Amino acid sequence: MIRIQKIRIQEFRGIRDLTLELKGANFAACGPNGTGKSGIVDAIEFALTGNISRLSGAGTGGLSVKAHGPHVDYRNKPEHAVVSLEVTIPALGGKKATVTRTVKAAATPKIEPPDPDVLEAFESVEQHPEFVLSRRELIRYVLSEPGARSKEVQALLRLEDIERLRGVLQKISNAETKALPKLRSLKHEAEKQLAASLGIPEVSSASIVAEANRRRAVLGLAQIEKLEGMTSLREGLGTGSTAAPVRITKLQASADFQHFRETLTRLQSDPIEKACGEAETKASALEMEGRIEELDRETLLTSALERYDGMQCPVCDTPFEPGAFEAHLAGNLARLEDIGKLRASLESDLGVLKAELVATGNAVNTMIELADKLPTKVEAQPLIDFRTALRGRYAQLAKLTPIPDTRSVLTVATEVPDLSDVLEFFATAIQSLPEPSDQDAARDFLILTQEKLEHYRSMSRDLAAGEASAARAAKAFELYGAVTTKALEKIYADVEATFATYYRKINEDDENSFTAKLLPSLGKLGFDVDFYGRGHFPPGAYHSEGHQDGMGLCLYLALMNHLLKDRFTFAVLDDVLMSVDAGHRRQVCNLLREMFPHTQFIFTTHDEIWLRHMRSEGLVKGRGFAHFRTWTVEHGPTEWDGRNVWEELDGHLAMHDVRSAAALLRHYLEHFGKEACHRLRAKVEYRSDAQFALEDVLSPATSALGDAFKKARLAAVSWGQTAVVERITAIEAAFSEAKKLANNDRWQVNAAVHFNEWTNLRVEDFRPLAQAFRSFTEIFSCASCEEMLSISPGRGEKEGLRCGCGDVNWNLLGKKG
Amino acid sequence: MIKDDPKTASLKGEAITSVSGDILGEFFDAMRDDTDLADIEPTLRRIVLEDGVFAEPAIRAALFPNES
Repeated sequence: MIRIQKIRIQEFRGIRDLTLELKGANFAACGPNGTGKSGIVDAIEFALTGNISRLSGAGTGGLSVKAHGPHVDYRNKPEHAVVSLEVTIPALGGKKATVTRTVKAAATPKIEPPDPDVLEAFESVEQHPEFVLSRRELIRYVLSEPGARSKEVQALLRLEDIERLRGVLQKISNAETKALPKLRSLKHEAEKQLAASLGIPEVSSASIVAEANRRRAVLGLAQIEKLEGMTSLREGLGTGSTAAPVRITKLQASADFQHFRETLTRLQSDPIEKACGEAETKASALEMEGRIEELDRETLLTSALERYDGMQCPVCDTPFEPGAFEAHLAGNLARLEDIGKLRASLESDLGVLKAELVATGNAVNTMIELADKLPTKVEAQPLIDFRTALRGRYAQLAKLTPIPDTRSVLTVATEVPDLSDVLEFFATAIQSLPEPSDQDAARDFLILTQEKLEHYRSMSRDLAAGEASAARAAKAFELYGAVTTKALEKIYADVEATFATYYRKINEDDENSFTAKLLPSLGKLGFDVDFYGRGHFPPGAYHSEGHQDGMGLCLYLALMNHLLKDRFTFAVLDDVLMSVDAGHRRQVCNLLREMFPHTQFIFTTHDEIWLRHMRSEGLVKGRGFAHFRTWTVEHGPTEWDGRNVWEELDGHLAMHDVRSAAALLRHYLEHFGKEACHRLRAKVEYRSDAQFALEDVLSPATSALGDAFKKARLAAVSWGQTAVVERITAIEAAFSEAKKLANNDRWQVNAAVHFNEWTNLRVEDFRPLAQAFRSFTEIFSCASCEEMLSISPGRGEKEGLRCGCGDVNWNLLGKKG
Repeated sequence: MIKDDPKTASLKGEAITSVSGDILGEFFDAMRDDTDLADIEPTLRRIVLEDGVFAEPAIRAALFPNES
C-alpha cells in the first residue's frame, strides 16, 4: 500500500486550506470537538476512495459527498473542493506519487505519475477502505451480534467471494438432486411401456432379444445375438419408413389398452391406498395442532432459499451480501426444524401417490389419442374429464398447502370414475381391428418395440446423465465446504491468536493470560474472551468499556495484519480508545510502536493528554502532529502555531480589541507553557486534574530553559567548545533581556493579577507587551527550524538540549575528569 | 470480484493475494487432485479467479461442459 508524505486540503468539509507534512511517519491531529480533526480523516478517505463513509451508511439519509463534501461556502462549486496526497509506495522501492481528487469529479482522481504499478497501488488502497477505523466500526467488531460481526469481519477480510461461490454451488447441487426423481420416474414409465409393448412382465436384455428374434424369424431376418447399446431390433427390415405404421396395429392398441387397465388397477391398489392413508394422517396432524401457519412459513422460507440467486431476496428484492441471506433464514428455519421434518415425511408419502397419478395420467392420455385414431370412434370425453381431475389432484399434492385442500384431495386421490362404458367401447373397437398377417404383425412389433426401446434407452441415458451431474455437483459442493471450512477455521485461529497477543500486550499488568475464541458457524462469527480465568464470555458481558475499546482495536489490527501482512503500511485511527485509561493508552503506544514499526498510523483525538502520551512514548515524533485550538466557518481549523497566533493577535489589536488579544495571548502562553514544560522536563507542581493554568507552567518553563542554557554553556566550556560557548552566552543575554521585557519576574509574584491587568491596557501599551512575549517565546525555539528546544532523553539523566534540525545540539553533561 | 491471480506476480515480484483468492485457490488445487473433478478444474479456476465471474449459468457450464 502507501505511506502519506503530505496532505493538502482545500475547501473540503470544514477546512479552507490546510497543509500537513506527515513525511511518511506517524501523525496525530488533536483538538477540542469541532476543530476539524475528522475533516482530515474525511479528506484522506476521500482522496483514496472517492467516498466519505461518514456521509453514507445507516442514519445518513439525504447526505452525500457531492452535496456535503465541499466547504459550506463552496457547496455550489464542487470543483474547488480538492484533496491532494503526496505518497510513497514502499512496495515500489519508495516510489513517489500524487493523487488529487475533487468533489466534482470524485470518481476520476488524477494520479501522477500514471504508471501501471502506481495505479495498481492506489487501486489496492481503494479496495481496502477499512484503513480508516472509527470507534463506530471498532465497537462493531466487539459488541455486535454474531451474524453482524461475521459480516463485518468477512467484509474486512474480503470473504464475500467465498460465500458467493458457496451459494452458487449449493444451488446447482440442490437443483441437480431435485431433478432426479422425475428422471427416475420417466425411465420407470418408459420401462413399463417397453414391457407392455413386449408383452412381458419385466424388461431384461434376454427377454427383449427373445421376443424380437421370434418376430425376426417370421420375417426371415438374422437373429440378434446380444442386445447392446446400438443394437436395433429392426435391423435388416429394409429401406422403408422407419416411422411407426400409420395404421393402428392391433398389437399396439391391445398393449396400450392393457397398460391402461393395469394403471387403473394399480391406482386403487393397497400400497397406494396405504400411502394415501398415511399422508392423510400426517396432514391431519398438521391441521389439528394449529401448525398450518408454521408450515406456510417454512414453505415460504425454504422456497426463498432455493430461489435465492446470491444477490437479492427472491420475495422482496432486498439485496443481500452472499451468505447473509442464508444466515438470515437459518435461524428461522432452525426454529421450524420439526415441522420441516414432518413436511418432508408427508411429501415422501405424497411422492408415491403423485408418481402413480402421473403414470395414470399418461396412460389416460394414450387412450385419448388412441380413441381418435381407431376406425370405430370411441367417445373420449369421460377420459378427458378424468385426466382433468387427475391433473387437479396432482397439482394440489405438489403444492401441499393449503393443507385442508390437500386433505380433500387425499380422500379422492385414488378414485376412478365409472369408465365401464368407455372400456367396453375400446375393447370392441380394438377387437374389430383387422388381424395383421404374421408378417405384418412381426414387422409392426419390431418397429414399435424399437421405438419403445429407443425411448427407454433415451430415458436411461437422461437418468444416468442426471445422476452423474448430481454426483459431480454434490461432490464439488462437499469438497468446497471441506476446503473453505478448514481454511476459514485456520484464518480465525490465526487471527484469534494474534488478537490475544496484542491484547495481552496492552493489558500485561493484569490480563497476561488472556485468550480468546473466534467461533465461526454458518454465516456467524461468535467472539468470546477470557475473563480473568473464570471462563470465556462475550466481551460485553464482564469487561469494561475501556477494555472493549482495546479489544476492538486489537481485533482490527489482527485482521488487518492477516489481510495485508507487510502491505499494512498505513491506517487512520479516528478518535478510537476514548474510554481507555492513561495507563493502558501508554501500552497501546508500545503495541503500535513495537508490533507495527512499518505501519504509518494517523490518529485523531480530542484529548491533549493522549497526544502527550503518544509523543512521550515515541509513537509520534518531532513535529508529527497538528494541535488545533479553534475552528471558524471563515477560516477552518487553526493550529496552535506561533505564527498564526501572533497574526491573529495583531488582527485583534488592529480592531482595538485588547480584551480578545489579551485572552488569546493568555491561552497561547498556557499552551506554550505546557509544551515547553514537557519538552524541557520542567518541574511543575502536580495537579491530579491536569488543569495547568498559565501561572503553573510559565515560570517552571522559564526556569528549565535558563537552567538548560547554563548547563549547556558549562558543558561546552568543559569540552573546549568555544564557539558553542559564545553562542549560548549570546542567547542567554537575549533570554535575560526578553524575560525583563515580558516582566517575567512579576509572574513569580502574582500571575493572576498580572494577567488581569492586560485587559485594562490600551492598544499602544499592550502591543509592546505582546511583542515582548513574542520575543520571549522565540528564545525557546531553534532559529533555523523553529521547533521548540527539547531536553533529551525524555526520562533519566538529562543529556542534551536539541532541536529538530540539529542546529541546536548541545551537551548538558560536562567532560569528566 | 477477484481480479488478482494469486499465481502471478506483480509489483516487482510480490504476488498479489487476497484472503478469498488464497482460499479459492486451495479449493481448485483440491479439485485438481480429485479424479472426478480434475477435468473441469482449469475452466472453473479461470472463470472464478481470472474472470471474476460467479454467475450461476457460467459456473454450471463449467461444471457440466457436455451439456449444451
